[in-house]
Amino acid sequence: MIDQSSISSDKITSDLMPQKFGKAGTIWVSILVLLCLAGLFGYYRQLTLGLGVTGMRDYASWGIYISNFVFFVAISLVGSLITAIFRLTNVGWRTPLTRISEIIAVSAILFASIIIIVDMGRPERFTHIFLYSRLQSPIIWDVIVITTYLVLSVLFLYFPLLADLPILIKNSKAGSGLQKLYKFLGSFWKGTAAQFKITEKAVKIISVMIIPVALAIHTVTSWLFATTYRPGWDSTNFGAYFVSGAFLVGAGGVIVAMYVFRKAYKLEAYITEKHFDYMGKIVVMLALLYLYFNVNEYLVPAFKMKKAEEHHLMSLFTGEFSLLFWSVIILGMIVPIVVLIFPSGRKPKTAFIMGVLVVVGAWFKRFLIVTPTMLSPFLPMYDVPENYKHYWPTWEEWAITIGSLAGALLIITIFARLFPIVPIHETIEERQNVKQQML
Amino acid sequence: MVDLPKIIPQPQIPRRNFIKGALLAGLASSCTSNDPFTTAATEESVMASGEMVKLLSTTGEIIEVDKAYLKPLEEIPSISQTAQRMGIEGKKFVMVIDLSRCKNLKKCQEACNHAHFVSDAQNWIKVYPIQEAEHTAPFWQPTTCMHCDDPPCVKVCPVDATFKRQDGIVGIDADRCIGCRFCMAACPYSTRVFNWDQPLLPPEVLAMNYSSETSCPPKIGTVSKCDFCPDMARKGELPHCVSACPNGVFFFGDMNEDTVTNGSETVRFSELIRDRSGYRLMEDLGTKPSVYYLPPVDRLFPFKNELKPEEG
Amino acid sequence: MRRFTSSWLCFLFTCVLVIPTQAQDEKDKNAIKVDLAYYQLDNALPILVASAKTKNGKKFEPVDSVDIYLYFNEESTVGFIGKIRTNDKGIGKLSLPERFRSDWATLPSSTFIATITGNERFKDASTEIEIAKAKIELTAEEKDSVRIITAKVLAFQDSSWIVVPETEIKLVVRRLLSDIKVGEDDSFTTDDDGVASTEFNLTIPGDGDGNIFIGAKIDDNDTYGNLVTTKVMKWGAPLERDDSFEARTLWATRDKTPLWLLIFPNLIIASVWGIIFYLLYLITRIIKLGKTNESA
Repeated sequence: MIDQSSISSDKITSDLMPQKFGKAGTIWVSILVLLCLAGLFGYYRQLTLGLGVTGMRDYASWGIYISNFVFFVAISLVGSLITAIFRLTNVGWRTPLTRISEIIAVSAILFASIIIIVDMGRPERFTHIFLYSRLQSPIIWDVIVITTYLVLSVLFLYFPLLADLPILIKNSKAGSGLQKLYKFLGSFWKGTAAQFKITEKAVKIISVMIIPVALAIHTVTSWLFATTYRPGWDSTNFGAYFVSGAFLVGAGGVIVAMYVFRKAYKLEAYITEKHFDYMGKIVVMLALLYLYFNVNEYLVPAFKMKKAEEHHLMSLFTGEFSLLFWSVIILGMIVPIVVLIFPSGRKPKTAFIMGVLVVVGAWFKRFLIVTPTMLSPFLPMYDVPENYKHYWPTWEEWAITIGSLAGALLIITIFARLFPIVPIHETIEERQNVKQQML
Repeated sequence: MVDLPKIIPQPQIPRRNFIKGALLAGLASSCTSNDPFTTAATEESVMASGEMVKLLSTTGEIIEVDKAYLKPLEEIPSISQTAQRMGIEGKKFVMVIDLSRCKNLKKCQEACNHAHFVSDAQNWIKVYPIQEAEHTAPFWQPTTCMHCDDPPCVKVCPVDATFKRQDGIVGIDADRCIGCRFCMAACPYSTRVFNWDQPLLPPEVLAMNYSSETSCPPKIGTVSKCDFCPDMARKGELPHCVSACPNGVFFFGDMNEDTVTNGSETVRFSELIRDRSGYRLMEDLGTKPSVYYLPPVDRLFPFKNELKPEEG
Repeated sequence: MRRFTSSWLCFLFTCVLVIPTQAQDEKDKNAIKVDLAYYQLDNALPILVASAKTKNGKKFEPVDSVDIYLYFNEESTVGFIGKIRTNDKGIGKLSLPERFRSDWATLPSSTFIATITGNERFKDASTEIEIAKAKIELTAEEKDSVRIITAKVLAFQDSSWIVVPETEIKLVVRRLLSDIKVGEDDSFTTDDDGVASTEFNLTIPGDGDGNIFIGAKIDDNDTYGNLVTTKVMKWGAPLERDDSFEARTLWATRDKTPLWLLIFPNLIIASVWGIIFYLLYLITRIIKLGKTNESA
């Protein structure tokens, strides 16, 4: 913390260069690959046998695929939070976090689109979405904004990466596949002032543009629910509610990723305690915000207790989902707020644990948004087999869902293997600036 | 093919002024299901082939008949996908359900399930025991698809797989449906079901081309629901549920004709709704259903529910 | 070769028809009841409706997919009308073919025969009905703003039409799925002139021009079968056209997307993607700059 600016640029480069997987890394990757394969097998069963292999039935016709989709969309919002908002507000300490959050965003949004295809009863008719697309449907809006966000996020990852590519080319084994990849991506980067100027301009444009697009993906995703009449979804608050929840899970996700990368790649000099401290404060603020929206979403209808809402609210407060509901509220929001509000709670380890709580809580929160509402129809659930009245995912659903989460982590892992997870060029530049100022 | 003008001669009126609906109306007759005027009673167009086939008479004699005459003629002319999506011009189908007559016999459900190959767990018609409040009287409430005029399901469909027809029917094109189930989430009446597994169907049904007018054959990975049986209406016949109900609970007809019938009684729709205080379900949602209910006053049958009370 | 095949087929067909009826124990089969009804619309060739039922316990149930053979006047090669197959309601229909028109038109009464023979599931059954030819003449007129419908029933006897008194007849407005009665009474009885009439006082919607079908029908008459005569009259209230199907609405098809939903999202999409393409162009600029730098 005291004199980091004294680290030489060679040291920075060697510190931040992507490294081969160690033993732990190999085990980690193999576990992820195995989980993905299990998910693929589950999906193979679903493809051949139909959605009947899932626990979904006519009442709970959306299940953990949809809540997982919402989770992915939510966590992808972090890309715009850290990179764009911090960049525009000139938050100085953001540099080591930008690429981490951006790759989380890209892989999450990628898997959001994959998981939504998994949820389709007729995935082979995927092209119908383009052939017969109907602009009246919020699904089409979602398809449009998600595609846009994905492209923008990739660009947002790519432009700042350009300056690192010559360093990567120089430091990788000549003629290796890796070097070829780097050369393909950025052999043209000569680091001239003109090139820098264009990149800077592009990054500035994306920073501005990605914020509304990011808000749009989550607002539109909330509209998939809010455009229906169902209790718990029929809310004008839903866009803001979803966006605030997305910011929270994104920030929590960044803390988790920061901690893991810091440990795995020995980045203590770059991702410092200061970062955990700042991010911890941000999580407190976002958790409070999300809690505020939750109070709105549940207290106001509970005060009125309309007939249609009653079944839904009671299933959350005291009914079959109550344990999960209160766990999510307490462990996923209140506990992180209380712990992270204290400076000692914002130390890396505790912050990491709180980050995990936030992310896991957020996943189950999405489940609580989707399923209890589906099981609270206007007309009573009647004249159906008993298993239609409840929803519990089958192993195929769990395998696919966990596989998709593993897949997203795998993409992040592979990215970190190929590219520096903390921007090298930017870090060197920053340190030099600090040095000059000190002189 | 049926030649409509042959069955109903139309001398003085140029055809285009006469909306097709009324033309169909002309074909219609009393609702006894064996009335042929309504339908494609098959017009002879076969020519003798000269090829003879032997037939046994009731007296045991052998009769030689021309093979061409033996071929049963197709009863329903097939209707193009586009025509199915458009619906029947000039019609506005409407149903009135008389709650005072329902005693939960579920004959409607049985007939519907049989006609559309619906599995027991996924009835398109449900008969709910309803008790609005603690001290109000319970009654049976059959529900079909409401065929809303502002259908929330159609609004959200991303690919036009479910659509509103000009005759008011909300149909499903199972060859188009991608199985996203947004429509199921959007429907406040929980009327839609999803073919989670491969439907168990006789091979000849499986081999049929899908028709949104019969919703057959149901296809795995797509949504199904009550379709108001427009194929029957085209034949001038009533939907299966209507003709199956022994108590005449269901009235079906064309709002533009202001006429509904349950098979034995034919009444003016407007008078029925006015005199019996007809209403629609969940009017406050603004979905504008095409199904009306007559309140369960002066019920013909006592409400008997063998089920557990919490299921009501 | 072809003759061989066809005669072979004929043989097979005969076997299928003849052998089971002789070889199989008739007692194993269920009894089946066949009914036949005669319908005639606007003096066209009649339509024959055959239905098959079987007893299940105490109740009769319709039987589907049964072949019923129809004959005109005699069960013979000449009299063979055709075959129908019953639907799921146990009903099949066939209109009298053109080749019987002259016979039917000249005879005062005709016999129609329906048979089920050689069926695998059911015993042989047959029924016949004798129908005397009749017609209804329907007139509708408006005098001093009083609208009157008059129906006259005539039967064909001794090559001329004579009036039929004392016959029940219904006067209706015909609708898609049912008929609405005109006047208070369900039905009327023809007087000595074979005439029944009633005032038309209904206010009822017609088509766009107010046209309705009025009709006179004889239902289930033992002598004459079912007869209907219709007439188009401009006595209905013109139906106001509902254009909501053509309107651009949120529930309409994709070609009828509301304009605001077409314009604003597309404007946004175009501008955002315009910028994205500009960003891609910036990449090409960077590449070009890199290349020129190299050459320099």
